[in-house]
Amino acid sequence: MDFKKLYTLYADSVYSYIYFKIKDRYLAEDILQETFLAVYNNLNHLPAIRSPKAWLLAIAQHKIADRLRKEKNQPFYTDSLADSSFHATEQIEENLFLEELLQRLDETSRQIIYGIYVEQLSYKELAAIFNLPEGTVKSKAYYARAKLKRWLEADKDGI
Amino acid sequence: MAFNTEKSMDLILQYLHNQLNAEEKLNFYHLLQTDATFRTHFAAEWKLYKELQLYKRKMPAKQKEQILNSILARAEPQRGREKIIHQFVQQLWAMILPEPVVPLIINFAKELSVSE
Repeated sequence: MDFKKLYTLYADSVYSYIYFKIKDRYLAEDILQETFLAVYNNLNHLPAIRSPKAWLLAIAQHKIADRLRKEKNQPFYTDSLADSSFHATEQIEENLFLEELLQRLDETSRQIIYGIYVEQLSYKELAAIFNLPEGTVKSKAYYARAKLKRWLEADKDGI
Repeated sequence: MAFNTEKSMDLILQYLHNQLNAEEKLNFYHLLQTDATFRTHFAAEWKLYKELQLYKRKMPAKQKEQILNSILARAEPQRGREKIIHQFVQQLWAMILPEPVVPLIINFAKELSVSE
């Protein structure tokens, strides 16, 4: 598979994943570029990769962590997150309540839930992305799913 | 067939990921019809699945293309620089070392770069 094909097939998934985590469109585009630049420079590894999507998301995961680490102490980063005008508009389109429930989960569980339901990734693929044992991913997924469903149910019952 | 919660959730996930074969699907539908607990699990999973689908984002084609062009513009000069450095190092080795040793050194360098 050549680079352009890989980009065409997976850019939306990678972008969605980054946006889900950082909730900033411009930063997400930037990290998307960095992710695919890294992919371009490592294309020789592709033939040995079983799941290109999981590979791409793992690279995106590293790039997000790098970027957040670099920008942690820079005031503009805090400002951009504090600027709620863009986020508010974007989040209205989404399910605000679900967003709130997802925020109650720990970071890894939240991303595992995203991987399972949005990207349809297997436990094995998620284990590779988060560098965790498959059993850990499975149990985190189980408890996170159970919690989310319980909270959704509680909301339906007006609790 | 008695199903515990975890098993039910895994089976439902397989259904949502479209991983069941025709026979397994029939069994799945049968369970839905006959097992009220399983039906409740499925309804909850389906709701979660549908709601999370809202997080799927699709970039406009133009924006996607612009980003691709930008990546390629950044990547190509980098690749060009790498090639020049690689050729220079090879020539340098060829000048320093006797002919039969050069391919061995190059192979060793390649192995090192792969293992990195």
